[in-house]
Parts: sequence; structure tokens; C-alpha cells
Amino acid sequence: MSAGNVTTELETSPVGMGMNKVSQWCDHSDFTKSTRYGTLTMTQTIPVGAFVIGSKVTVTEAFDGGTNNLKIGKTSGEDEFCDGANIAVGTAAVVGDSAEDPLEFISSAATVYLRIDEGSDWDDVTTGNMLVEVFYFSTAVELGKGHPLKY
Amino acid sequence: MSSGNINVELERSPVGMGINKVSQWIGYADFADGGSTAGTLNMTQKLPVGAFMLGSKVRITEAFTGTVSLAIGNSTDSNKYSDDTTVAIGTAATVGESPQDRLEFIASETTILLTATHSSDWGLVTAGKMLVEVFYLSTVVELTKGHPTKT
Repeated sequence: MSAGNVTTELETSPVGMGMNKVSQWCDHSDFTKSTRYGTLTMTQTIPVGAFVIGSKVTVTEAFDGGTNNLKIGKTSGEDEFCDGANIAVGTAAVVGDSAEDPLEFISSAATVYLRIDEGSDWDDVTTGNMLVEVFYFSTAVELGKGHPLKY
Repeated sequence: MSSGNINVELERSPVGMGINKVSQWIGYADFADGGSTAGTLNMTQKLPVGAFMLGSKVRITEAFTGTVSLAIGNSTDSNKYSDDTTVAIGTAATVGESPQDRLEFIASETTILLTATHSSDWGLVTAGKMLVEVFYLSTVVELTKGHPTKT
């Protein structure tokens, strides 16, 4: 077993539970303007059978402009994957939160929506880059998922 | 892969999540007597940024003298990692608790504070030894952390 397939080994083991994630590098330019908000739908989804752990956000370039609070949820503007709270992305830092319902069971594939509230006008945001990771205990094998490099 | 490095393999995998802990053998004499009923100790290892808290396990191999309880927390909340309560360490046994905030995300490196309280005076405690383990889901590699043997 190597680090490259340890997750698959866990998922294919007799117990059949591993740890996996939805992850994506998100640049400020990837977001779609909706008045004061920037919205983005993550490419990967959380599969059926997952138990959600929480979200980790590594902000490598601060989002400028106004307040810049991030919500991570099942629909745009909701926050099931960041404990019903905001995550500040206006400063370069490692931030995150648990799931609002820790270890929530996912019974149908869940799309992950990101929404940043700039405070007044999304056009004021001209910088910002972050790695968003939403972790979960996995009970299904996801061979082709793949994840971006962390650096 | 061997059991010796499986945690590192998980942390280094593309998913980048493993299971880790802060752990330490602690004797009654390691606590600082606060002059009243409580003895306090800061654990040597720290919780790293990016961890999601799982809970605490305490194995008492030598009972602490008298009626003694242990709170596991930090400098701002003394029982945050023992579910807002204490565990009894006056009897040789294995005890534990979940964190107060399930799967809490650790946003800044955190020192774990142990507070042991005797029913009347910490100075009356003349025996006691235990292994304290505070478990978390880890998202960073901690190559040199090391852990004491369990026996």
C-alpha cells in the first residue's frame, strides 16, 4: 500500500470505510457575480453513503474588497458544511469548521455550493485564491475522483 | 505499509486526512498544585491547525488518591475536550469523553490543559498515574510527533 491508494484500500477493505473529500482550488475569478455575492458550484460532489466531517479552507491569497465571508452548503448561501457560520477569507490563513450536523449521513449525492459575501459589490473583489476541502467518511469507492495538489 | 507509518501515509495521501493524537503519561506529581483543590498541567504536545476533534481517552493504571476528577480543555475552556464535564480518575479504569463541540475545527495551534480536582485538597493526592490521549482527524503531516508506549 502506498500513500497514493491508501484511501481506496480503506474503502475496499472488509470494513469499507475510508476518509475522502471534495476539493478544489478556487480563484476569485472563478466566482459568478450576484450583486454583493460571488457564487461557485464545486465540480465534485459528496457521494451517497458519506458521513460529513467538515470543511478546511486554505486561503493562500486574501480576498480583497469588503467583509468576504464564505458559506459552504448544499445550496447557494446555505452553510451545512461550515457549522451554520461564516468562514473569513479576507486574510491568508487556514480556517474551517465542522459540519453543522456533525457526521450527517448523505443519502443522495450532494453538490457543494460556495458563496462569498463581499458586503457591497462583488466587483470590488480583485484578488483571492483558496483551496477548499470538504472532508467526509466514505463508504463507497471513488476511483476516478482525484484531488488537486495542495501547494 | 506497516502499522508504524499508516497515519503518515494517510496524511500524505491525496485526500490528506489521517487520525492522530496528543498523548502523554502523567503521574500525580506532574501536576502543579494550585494551593487549593486543583492541580493543573499543560500537555507537552499540541493540537495542530487543521485538526477536527474526536475525543479523549484516559487510562488510569494507578488510581489517584481520594475522589479525583479530571477536566480536559484549554486555557479558555477547562473541559472543552471532555464534553463540558469531568472524568473520574480515582479508580483504575479506562474512561473518556467526546469533545464538547463534535468535530470542532482547530484554527490555531492549541495547548491542552489538564485540571485534576480533589474533593478537598490537591495536596492530599499521593498516588496516581494515567495515559491521556486526545484524538483528532489530522490534515497535516506530523512526522516527528511520536507517542509514548501504551503500557
